[in-house]
This record gives sequence, structure tokens and C-alpha cells, in this order.
Amino acid sequence: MRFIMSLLFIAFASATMAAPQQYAVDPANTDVGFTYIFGEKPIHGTFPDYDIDVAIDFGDVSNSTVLVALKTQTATGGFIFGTQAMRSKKILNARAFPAITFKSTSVTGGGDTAQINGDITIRGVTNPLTLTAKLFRPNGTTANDLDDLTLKITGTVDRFAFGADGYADEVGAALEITIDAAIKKQ
Amino acid sequence: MSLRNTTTRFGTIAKFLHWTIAVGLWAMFLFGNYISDLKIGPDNFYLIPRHKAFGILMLSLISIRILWRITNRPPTPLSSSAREHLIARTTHAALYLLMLATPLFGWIGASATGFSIPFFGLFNVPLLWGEDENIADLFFMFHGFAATTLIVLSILHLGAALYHHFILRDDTLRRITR
Repeated sequence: MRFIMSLLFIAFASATMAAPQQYAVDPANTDVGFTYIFGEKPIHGTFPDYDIDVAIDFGDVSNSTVLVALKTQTATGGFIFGTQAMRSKKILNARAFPAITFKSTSVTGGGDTAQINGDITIRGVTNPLTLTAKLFRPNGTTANDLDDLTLKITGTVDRFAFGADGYADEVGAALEITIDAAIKKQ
Repeated sequence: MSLRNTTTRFGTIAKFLHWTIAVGLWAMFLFGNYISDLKIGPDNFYLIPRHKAFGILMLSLISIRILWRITNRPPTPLSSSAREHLIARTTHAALYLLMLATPLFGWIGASATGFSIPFFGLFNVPLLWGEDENIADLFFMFHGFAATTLIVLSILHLGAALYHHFILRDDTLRRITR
């Protein structure tokens, strides 16, 4: 069991921390995936190769930053043809555009949830995107123990807005992105 | 019963290839039309690679048939006019050409989609073209046109066989059935 952490609560509990804390992602305990609708069924895909850079300011959450780069050439689409379609020119065009990037521009917190506003670039097209973030700490840890956390980020991308409009009759426009990352303070 | 053709009869191998391919071509035509009208989803997606695998199988059988035809002379045509003989030769040539072209066009189109072409899960068939949506669309159009033309010609071929059997009352049809 993990306890959900209120960002505001963390802010009060960790008022002594002034600067953003850099966190490293533990790949062994991190899943970066997405869900799309194929036909009428949800299919889960993954981005096994990624770079995620997280800095959290528990004193002022607006100073926090998130940088994400997802490698498209190793993206999987849930089954072999889904993977091939995903990487094809009609969707991610992985050969020409080897990464999806997200860079936060502002972070706002309230209750147990933060909103990460930023720019996402897919196929060379950049659009604004707001992600939702939640932080968890392991069961049995104290509120001040912020060394090892779990960061869950979710968001929805409309692939058509990036020209990734292949197989529109079969595959839905929305990609539900989920990053479930184990992060460790540096 | 001879495996090879004689001057009066088709051999067992020619008859087997003829009827297997005839049934296969019609089945593939109906199969292709069925999946082209289908709303594709996870439950029926497997039909597409299955169509491709059967297409490769058909192309293999057709290649064997053509080799057999080249190395094994068919029976001498039964009496018919020079004009009918020319029509028959032209139709047969067109049938052979379209039997090769139809799966080949499908293979090129399928290659250009960028998807792999598994042969019944045993191995992946080599791709003949790099990923190119325009080429895929073009060759799938050729594939559909060639398949439809092939089916029309096969109906004419069947009509000619029935004409020989019921009107001319010769052994042309029996040579390939018995």
C-alpha cells in the first residue's frame, strides 16, 4: 500500500526545503504506457525507452519541472501489428521522429493532485498539454521521508492534432498516457 | 492414371493444381471482398494476415502450376475453329498472367503498408517494398482490379468449358475432370 500525498500537505510538512529536489527514475519499477481504442476495445501499449527528468519543489510546487522524452522506435502497440502501426509513418513515424518530448511550463497544485502544463512535441508538431500528477510514498514511511516516491502522471493526447492520423477508421484519436514512475531523490 | 499429361488427358498433378487453384482463387476473392468491407478490430484483425498468407500460398501454387505447364505439354486441343483456338489461347494466357499478377500486386501493396507478412506463424515473408502509403494504395487498387478481372475471366473460362461439353459435345471438360 502506498499513501497518496497531498502536494499541499507535503509543502507544509517540508517547508524547510526551498529549492527543487532532483529525482531520478528507477527504470525497474517504472511503466510508461498508453491506452488507445482499437475497434471498440482498449489496447495497452508501452514506451520502454524513455528519459524522465523530475524536479520537485515541495515548498513551492510551481517551481517543479518535468521533462519527458519517449523513444518512439521501441514503442509497442499491444500486439505485433499494433506495434508496427504505431511506429509507422501513418502514426508516430518513428524513423523520422525518434522521440516524443514533453516539457513543463508551469505546475500548479491543489489537494492531492498537481496539474503540469507544458508543451508536447509529436512528429515535430508542438501543442500545449496538461498532465495530471499524483505523488505517493511507500507504506510505513513518515510524511517527511521524501527519498523514494512514486509519481503517477496521466494525460490524454489527441493524435490527430499532431498529424498522427493513420488508421482513423479503426483506431481512436485519443491516447491515454500513463507514467507510473518510481523516483528517488538525488 | 498418369501423373503427367498425355496427348489426350491432363495428368493428376495438372488436375490437382487446376482445381485447387480454381477453388482457391474464388475463395480468396470472396475472402478479400469480405475483409475489405469489414470494420476491423482486435477480434477480426487476424483475418488480414491470414488473407496475405493464403495469397502467398496461392502464388506458390500458381508458380508451380506455371512451371508444370512449361515442362509438361497439355493435351492437344480438340477440334475447334482457328478463331476459337485463338480466343482460348488468349484467355489462358490472360488467366496465367492475372493469376501471377493478382497475388503479386497484393504482396507489393501489403509490403508498402509497413506491416510484416507472417506465413501462418511459421516465418515472415520478405517485404517487396518499403513503407509507402501511395504505393500501398496504388497496388491494392491494382490487386482488386486484377482479382475482379481474373474472376470474370474464370467465368468465361467455365462458360467455354460448358460450351464444349454441352454444345460441341467434345471431351474438353472431361479431360480436366476425369
